[in-house]
Amino acid sequence: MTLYHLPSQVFISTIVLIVLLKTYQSAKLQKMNKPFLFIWLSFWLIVLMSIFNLGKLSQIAQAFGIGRGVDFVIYLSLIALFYFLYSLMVKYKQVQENMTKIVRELAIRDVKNKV
Amino acid sequence: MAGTHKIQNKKTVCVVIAAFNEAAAISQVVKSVLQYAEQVVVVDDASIDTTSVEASKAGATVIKHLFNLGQGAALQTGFTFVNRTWPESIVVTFDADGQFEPSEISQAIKPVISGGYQVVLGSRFLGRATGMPFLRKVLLKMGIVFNWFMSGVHLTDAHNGFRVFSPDSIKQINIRQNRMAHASEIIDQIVSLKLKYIEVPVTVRYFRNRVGQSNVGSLQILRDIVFEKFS
Repeated sequence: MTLYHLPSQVFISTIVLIVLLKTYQSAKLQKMNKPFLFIWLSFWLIVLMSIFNLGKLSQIAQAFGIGRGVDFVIYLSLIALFYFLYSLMVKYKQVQENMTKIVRELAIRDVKNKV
Repeated sequence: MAGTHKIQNKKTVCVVIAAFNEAAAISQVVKSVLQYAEQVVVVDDASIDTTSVEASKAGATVIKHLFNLGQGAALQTGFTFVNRTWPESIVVTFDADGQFEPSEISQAIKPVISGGYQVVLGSRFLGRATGMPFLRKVLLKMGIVFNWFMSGVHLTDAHNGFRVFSPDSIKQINIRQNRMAHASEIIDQIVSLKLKYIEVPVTVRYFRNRVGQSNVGSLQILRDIVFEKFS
Protein backbone atom coordinates (compact mmCIF):
# COMPACT_ATOMS: atom_id res chain seq x y z
CA MET A 1 0.00 0.00 0.00
CA THR A 2 1.46 3.38 -0.97
CA LEU A 3 0.51 6.97 -0.19
CA TYR A 4 -0.22 7.41 -3.90
CA HIS A 5 -3.25 5.12 -3.65
CA LEU A 6 -4.43 6.46 -0.28
CA PRO A 7 -6.88 9.22 -1.45
CA SER A 8 -8.71 6.89 -3.85
CA GLN A 9 -8.77 4.11 -1.25
CA VAL A 10 -10.27 6.47 1.35
CA PHE A 11 -12.83 7.80 -1.16
CA ILE A 12 -13.94 4.36 -2.36
CA SER A 13 -13.98 2.95 1.20
CA THR A 14 -16.30 5.79 2.25
CA ILE A 15 -18.69 5.05 -0.60
CA VAL A 16 -18.63 1.32 0.17
CA LEU A 17 -19.33 1.96 3.87
CA ILE A 18 -22.30 4.23 2.97
CA VAL A 19 -23.65 1.51 0.64
CA LEU A 20 -23.23 -1.13 3.38
CA LEU A 21 -25.04 1.11 5.88
CA LYS A 22 -27.95 1.68 3.45
CA THR A 23 -28.05 -2.06 2.77
CA TYR A 24 -28.24 -2.75 6.50
CA GLN A 25 -31.15 -0.31 6.85
CA SER A 26 -33.02 -1.87 3.90
CA ALA A 27 -32.38 -5.37 5.20
CA LYS A 28 -33.78 -4.39 8.61
CA LEU A 29 -36.98 -3.23 6.92
CA GLN A 30 -36.97 -6.48 4.87
CA LYS A 31 -36.90 -4.63 1.60
CA MET A 32 -34.44 -7.08 0.05
CA ASN A 33 -34.69 -10.81 -0.56
CA LYS A 34 -31.90 -12.99 0.89
CA PRO A 35 -30.21 -14.24 -2.32
CA PHE A 36 -29.97 -10.70 -3.68
CA LEU A 37 -28.71 -9.44 -0.28
CA PHE A 38 -25.96 -12.09 -0.25
CA ILE A 39 -24.79 -11.22 -3.78
CA TRP A 40 -24.96 -7.48 -3.09
CA LEU A 41 -22.95 -7.71 0.16
CA SER A 42 -20.41 -10.08 -1.38
CA PHE A 43 -19.82 -7.69 -4.27
CA TRP A 44 -19.14 -4.70 -2.05
CA LEU A 45 -16.93 -6.68 0.35
CA ILE A 46 -14.87 -7.84 -2.63
CA VAL A 47 -14.58 -4.20 -3.76
CA LEU A 48 -13.45 -3.20 -0.26
CA MET A 49 -10.84 -5.98 -0.09
CA SER A 50 -9.65 -5.27 -3.62
CA ILE A 51 -8.89 -1.58 -3.12
CA PHE A 52 -6.53 -2.44 -0.23
CA ASN A 53 -4.94 -5.33 -2.11
CA LEU A 54 -4.66 -4.27 -5.74
CA GLY A 55 -1.88 -6.79 -6.39
CA LYS A 56 -4.17 -9.68 -5.49
CA LEU A 57 -6.87 -8.34 -7.80
CA SER A 58 -4.39 -8.16 -10.68
CA GLN A 59 -3.32 -11.77 -9.99
CA ILE A 60 -6.95 -12.90 -10.19
CA ALA A 61 -7.45 -10.92 -13.40
CA GLN A 62 -4.35 -12.49 -14.98
CA ALA A 63 -5.68 -15.95 -14.14
CA PHE A 64 -8.59 -15.07 -16.46
CA GLY A 65 -6.26 -13.76 -19.14
CA ILE A 66 -7.00 -10.10 -18.38
CA GLY A 67 -4.10 -7.71 -17.85
CA ARG A 68 -5.29 -5.33 -15.16
CA GLY A 69 -7.40 -5.84 -12.07
CA VAL A 70 -9.53 -2.80 -12.78
CA ASP A 71 -10.35 -4.11 -16.31
CA PHE A 72 -11.48 -7.36 -14.72
CA VAL A 73 -13.83 -5.47 -12.40
CA ILE A 74 -15.21 -3.44 -15.34
CA TYR A 75 -15.90 -6.57 -17.43
CA LEU A 76 -17.62 -8.27 -14.49
CA SER A 77 -19.69 -5.13 -13.86
CA LEU A 78 -20.78 -5.00 -17.51
CA ILE A 79 -21.88 -8.65 -17.43
CA ALA A 80 -23.78 -8.01 -14.21
CA LEU A 81 -25.41 -4.88 -15.68
CA PHE A 82 -26.58 -6.70 -18.83
CA TYR A 83 -28.00 -9.53 -16.77
CA PHE A 84 -29.74 -7.03 -14.48
CA LEU A 85 -31.24 -5.24 -17.51
CA TYR A 86 -32.45 -8.54 -18.96
CA SER A 87 -34.10 -9.60 -15.71
CA LEU A 88 -35.72 -6.15 -15.44
CA MET A 89 -37.21 -6.57 -18.91
CA VAL A 90 -38.57 -10.00 -18.00
CA LYS A 91 -40.16 -8.58 -14.82
CA TYR A 92 -41.58 -5.64 -16.77
CA LYS A 93 -43.20 -8.06 -19.21
CA GLN A 94 -44.75 -10.01 -16.32
CA VAL A 95 -46.16 -6.80 -14.83
CA GLN A 96 -47.50 -5.78 -18.23
CA GLU A 97 -49.20 -9.18 -18.66
CA ASN A 98 -50.80 -8.93 -15.24
CA MET A 99 -52.04 -5.41 -15.94
CA THR A 100 -53.49 -6.58 -19.26
CA LYS A 101 -55.40 -9.35 -17.49
CA ILE A 102 -56.83 -6.88 -14.97
CA VAL A 103 -57.91 -4.37 -17.65
CA ARG A 104 -59.44 -7.19 -19.72
CA GLU A 105 -61.39 -8.63 -16.80
CA LEU A 106 -62.70 -5.19 -15.76
CA ALA A 107 -63.76 -4.41 -19.34
CA ILE A 108 -65.63 -7.70 -19.76
CA ARG A 109 -67.32 -7.48 -16.36
CA ASP A 110 -68.45 -3.96 -17.20
CA VAL A 111 -70.26 -5.27 -20.29
CA LYS A 112 -71.77 -8.19 -18.39
CA ASN A 113 -73.04 -5.84 -15.67
CA LYS A 114 -74.72 -3.58 -18.21
CA VAL A 115 -76.52 -6.48 -19.96
CA MET B 1 -81.48 -5.48 -43.95
CA ALA B 2 -79.46 -7.21 -41.23
CA GLY B 3 -78.64 -10.84 -41.80
CA THR B 4 -79.71 -11.05 -45.44
CA HIS B 5 -76.39 -12.47 -46.58
CA LYS B 6 -75.76 -14.87 -43.72
CA ILE B 7 -75.00 -18.45 -44.60
CA GLN B 8 -77.51 -20.85 -43.13
CA ASN B 9 -75.55 -22.99 -40.71
CA LYS B 10 -75.82 -24.06 -37.12
CA LYS B 11 -72.93 -21.98 -35.86
CA THR B 12 -73.06 -18.33 -34.84
CA VAL B 13 -70.62 -16.08 -36.66
CA CYS B 14 -69.14 -13.46 -34.38
CA VAL B 15 -66.90 -10.72 -35.72
CA VAL B 16 -64.34 -9.22 -33.33
CA ILE B 17 -63.11 -5.74 -34.21
CA ALA B 18 -60.31 -4.05 -32.26
CA ALA B 19 -60.71 -0.29 -32.56
CA PHE B 20 -58.73 2.74 -31.55
CA ASN B 21 -59.93 6.23 -32.54
CA GLU B 22 -62.03 4.96 -35.44
CA ALA B 23 -65.18 7.03 -34.86
CA ALA B 24 -65.20 8.09 -38.52
CA ALA B 25 -65.37 4.56 -39.93
CA ILE B 26 -66.63 2.24 -37.22
CA SER B 27 -70.38 2.81 -37.71
CA GLN B 28 -70.28 1.91 -41.40
CA VAL B 29 -68.00 -1.07 -40.73
CA VAL B 30 -70.28 -2.48 -38.01
CA LYS B 31 -73.45 -1.98 -40.07
CA SER B 32 -71.88 -3.66 -43.11
CA VAL B 33 -70.47 -6.56 -41.10
CA LEU B 34 -73.82 -7.19 -39.39
CA GLN B 35 -75.20 -8.24 -42.77
CA TYR B 36 -72.82 -11.20 -42.70
CA ALA B 37 -72.58 -12.08 -39.00
CA GLU B 38 -74.94 -12.57 -36.08
CA GLN B 39 -72.77 -10.72 -33.57
CA VAL B 40 -70.22 -7.94 -33.78
CA VAL B 41 -67.98 -7.26 -30.79
CA VAL B 42 -66.03 -4.02 -30.89
CA VAL B 43 -63.19 -3.78 -28.39
CA ASP B 44 -62.50 -0.10 -27.88
CA ASP B 45 -58.86 0.20 -26.86
CA ALA B 46 -59.34 3.41 -24.84
CA SER B 47 -60.13 5.65 -27.78
CA ILE B 48 -60.23 9.38 -27.10
CA ASP B 49 -63.00 9.95 -29.66
CA THR B 50 -66.57 8.58 -29.85
CA THR B 51 -65.64 5.15 -31.26
CA SER B 52 -67.54 3.18 -28.61
CA VAL B 53 -70.67 5.37 -28.91
CA GLU B 54 -70.73 5.03 -32.70
CA ALA B 55 -70.11 1.29 -32.54
CA SER B 56 -72.85 0.79 -29.99
CA LYS B 57 -75.36 2.86 -32.02
CA ALA B 58 -74.54 0.76 -35.08
CA GLY B 59 -75.47 -2.43 -33.22
CA ALA B 60 -72.19 -3.79 -31.85
CA THR B 61 -71.52 -5.14 -28.39
CA VAL B 62 -68.84 -2.77 -27.13
CA ILE B 63 -66.12 -3.64 -24.65
CA LYS B 64 -63.97 -0.75 -23.49
CA HIS B 65 -60.41 -0.99 -22.14
CA LEU B 66 -59.56 1.31 -19.26
CA PHE B 67 -56.34 2.34 -20.98
CA ASN B 68 -54.67 1.64 -24.29
CA LEU B 69 -53.07 -1.80 -24.47
CA GLY B 70 -52.67 -2.49 -28.19
CA GLN B 71 -54.43 -4.38 -30.95
CA GLY B 72 -53.23 -7.79 -29.80
CA ALA B 73 -54.61 -7.24 -26.31
CA ALA B 74 -57.89 -5.92 -27.73
CA LEU B 75 -58.35 -8.98 -29.95
CA GLN B 76 -57.68 -11.34 -27.03
CA THR B 77 -60.23 -9.43 -24.94
CA GLY B 78 -62.72 -10.04 -27.75
CA PHE B 79 -61.80 -13.74 -27.89
CA THR B 80 -62.18 -14.13 -24.13
CA PHE B 81 -65.57 -12.41 -24.20
CA VAL B 82 -66.83 -14.55 -27.09
CA ASN B 83 -65.59 -17.75 -25.41
CA ARG B 84 -67.58 -16.89 -22.31
CA THR B 85 -70.70 -15.53 -24.03
CA TRP B 86 -71.09 -17.48 -27.30
CA PRO B 87 -68.72 -20.45 -26.87
CA GLU B 88 -69.74 -22.25 -30.07
CA SER B 89 -69.15 -19.28 -32.36
CA ILE B 90 -67.01 -19.04 -35.42
CA VAL B 91 -64.88 -15.96 -34.81
CA VAL B 92 -63.80 -13.55 -37.53
CA THR B 93 -61.25 -10.80 -36.83
CA PHE B 94 -61.82 -7.68 -38.89
CA ASP B 95 -60.19 -4.27 -39.04
CA ALA B 96 -62.07 -1.18 -37.85
CA ASP B 97 -60.88 1.26 -40.47
CA GLY B 98 -62.88 0.03 -43.46
CA GLN B 99 -59.90 -1.53 -45.27
CA PHE B 100 -61.57 -4.92 -45.57
CA GLU B 101 -64.58 -5.97 -47.62
CA PRO B 102 -67.39 -7.31 -45.38
CA SER B 103 -68.97 -9.32 -48.22
CA GLU B 104 -65.88 -11.54 -48.21
CA ILE B 105 -66.79 -12.88 -44.76
CA SER B 106 -69.21 -15.40 -46.32
CA GLN B 107 -66.48 -16.92 -48.49
CA ALA B 108 -63.87 -16.76 -45.73
CA ILE B 109 -65.88 -18.82 -43.23
CA LYS B 110 -66.66 -21.65 -45.70
CA PRO B 111 -63.41 -23.59 -45.10
CA VAL B 112 -64.26 -23.70 -41.36
CA ILE B 113 -67.90 -24.64 -41.85
CA SER B 114 -67.48 -27.34 -44.45
CA GLY B 115 -63.75 -27.74 -45.21
CA GLY B 116 -62.58 -29.04 -41.85
CA TYR B 117 -60.20 -26.15 -41.35
CA GLN B 118 -59.68 -24.55 -37.95
CA VAL B 119 -58.09 -21.28 -39.06
CA VAL B 120 -58.52 -19.23 -42.22
CA LEU B 121 -55.98 -16.49 -42.94
CA GLY B 122 -56.76 -13.68 -45.35
CA SER B 123 -54.14 -12.80 -47.96
CA ARG B 124 -54.09 -9.56 -49.90
CA PHE B 125 -51.44 -11.03 -52.19
CA LEU B 126 -53.77 -13.86 -53.22
CA GLY B 127 -56.64 -11.35 -53.47
CA ARG B 128 -56.38 -7.62 -54.12
CA ALA B 129 -54.56 -4.72 -52.48
CA THR B 130 -55.69 -1.41 -53.93
CA GLY B 131 -53.61 1.73 -53.40
CA MET B 132 -50.86 0.01 -51.41
CA PRO B 133 -47.80 2.25 -50.94
CA PHE B 134 -44.61 0.73 -52.37
CA LEU B 135 -42.70 0.89 -49.07
CA ARG B 136 -45.53 -0.92 -47.29
CA LYS B 137 -45.39 -3.67 -49.90
CA VAL B 138 -41.63 -4.03 -49.37
CA LEU B 139 -42.04 -4.21 -45.58
CA LEU B 140 -44.84 -6.76 -45.86
CA LYS B 141 -42.74 -8.95 -48.14
CA MET B 142 -39.85 -8.72 -45.68
CA GLY B 143 -42.29 -9.64 -42.93
CA ILE B 144 -43.26 -12.78 -44.85
CA VAL B 145 -39.60 -13.86 -45.08
CA PHE B 146 -38.95 -13.04 -41.43
CA ASN B 147 -42.07 -14.93 -40.35
CA TRP B 148 -40.97 -17.92 -42.45
CA PHE B 149 -37.60 -17.86 -40.72
CA MET B 150 -39.05 -17.57 -37.21
CA SER B 151 -42.03 -19.93 -37.45
CA GLY B 152 -41.21 -22.17 -40.41
CA VAL B 153 -44.54 -21.31 -42.02
CA HIS B 154 -44.57 -19.91 -45.54
CA LEU B 155 -47.53 -17.60 -45.97
CA THR B 156 -48.30 -15.22 -48.80
CA ASP B 157 -49.47 -12.57 -46.28
CA ALA B 158 -48.15 -12.84 -42.71
CA HIS B 159 -49.74 -9.66 -41.32
CA ASN B 160 -53.35 -9.65 -42.37
CA GLY B 161 -56.02 -8.82 -39.80
CA PHE B 162 -58.77 -10.73 -41.63
CA ARG B 163 -58.84 -14.17 -40.03
CA VAL B 164 -61.42 -16.82 -39.18
CA PHE B 165 -61.21 -19.19 -36.21
CA SER B 166 -63.29 -22.29 -35.52
CA PRO B 167 -64.94 -22.56 -32.07
CA ASP B 168 -62.35 -25.06 -30.85
CA SER B 169 -59.32 -23.15 -32.15
CA ILE B 170 -60.38 -19.82 -30.59
CA LYS B 171 -60.38 -21.53 -27.19
CA GLN B 172 -56.76 -22.60 -27.67
CA ILE B 173 -55.36 -19.34 -29.02
CA ASN B 174 -54.01 -17.04 -26.29
CA ILE B 175 -52.51 -13.79 -27.55
CA ARG B 176 -49.86 -12.45 -25.16
CA GLN B 177 -48.28 -9.85 -27.43
CA ASN B 178 -50.28 -6.68 -26.74
CA ARG B 179 -49.14 -4.67 -29.73
CA MET B 180 -48.61 -5.44 -33.42
CA ALA B 181 -46.33 -8.45 -32.92
CA HIS B 182 -49.49 -10.43 -32.13
CA ALA B 183 -49.87 -11.21 -35.84
CA SER B 184 -46.66 -13.26 -35.80
CA GLU B 185 -47.60 -14.75 -32.43
CA ILE B 186 -50.90 -16.02 -33.84
CA ILE B 187 -49.04 -17.80 -36.62
CA ASP B 188 -46.59 -19.30 -34.11
CA GLN B 189 -49.51 -20.62 -32.07
CA ILE B 190 -51.24 -22.06 -35.15
CA VAL B 191 -48.06 -24.05 -35.78
CA SER B 192 -47.42 -25.11 -32.18
CA LEU B 193 -51.07 -26.10 -31.63
CA LYS B 194 -51.07 -27.95 -34.98
CA LEU B 195 -54.21 -26.17 -36.15
CA LYS B 196 -55.33 -26.87 -39.70
CA TYR B 197 -55.17 -23.61 -41.63
CA ILE B 198 -55.64 -22.25 -45.11
CA GLU B 199 -55.10 -18.91 -46.81
CA VAL B 200 -57.91 -17.28 -48.78
CA PRO B 201 -57.88 -14.22 -51.07
CA VAL B 202 -59.20 -11.01 -49.52
CA THR B 203 -59.35 -7.38 -50.59
CA VAL B 204 -57.46 -4.68 -48.72
CA ARG B 205 -58.06 -1.03 -49.58
CA TYR B 206 -55.46 1.58 -48.70
CA PHE B 207 -56.65 5.14 -48.17
CA ARG B 208 -54.44 8.17 -48.77
CA ASN B 209 -55.60 10.05 -45.69
CA ARG B 210 -55.17 7.10 -43.32
CA VAL B 211 -51.90 6.37 -41.53
CA GLY B 212 -52.53 2.78 -40.49
CA GLN B 213 -49.55 0.96 -39.04
CA SER B 214 -46.42 3.05 -39.32
CA ASN B 215 -43.38 1.70 -41.14
CA VAL B 216 -41.29 2.38 -38.03
CA GLY B 217 -43.76 0.20 -36.14
CA SER B 218 -42.37 -2.73 -38.12
CA LEU B 219 -39.09 -2.38 -36.21
CA GLN B 220 -40.98 -2.45 -32.92
CA ILE B 221 -42.71 -5.64 -34.05
CA LEU B 222 -39.31 -7.17 -34.80
CA ARG B 223 -38.03 -6.19 -31.34
CA ASP B 224 -41.09 -7.69 -29.61
CA ILE B 225 -40.90 -10.96 -31.56
CA VAL B 226 -37.18 -11.44 -30.89
CA PHE B 227 -37.55 -10.66 -27.19
CA GLU B 228 -40.47 -13.08 -26.88
CA LYS B 229 -38.46 -15.84 -28.54
CA PHE B 230 -35.45 -15.46 -26.26
CA SER B 231 -37.05 -14.62 -22.91
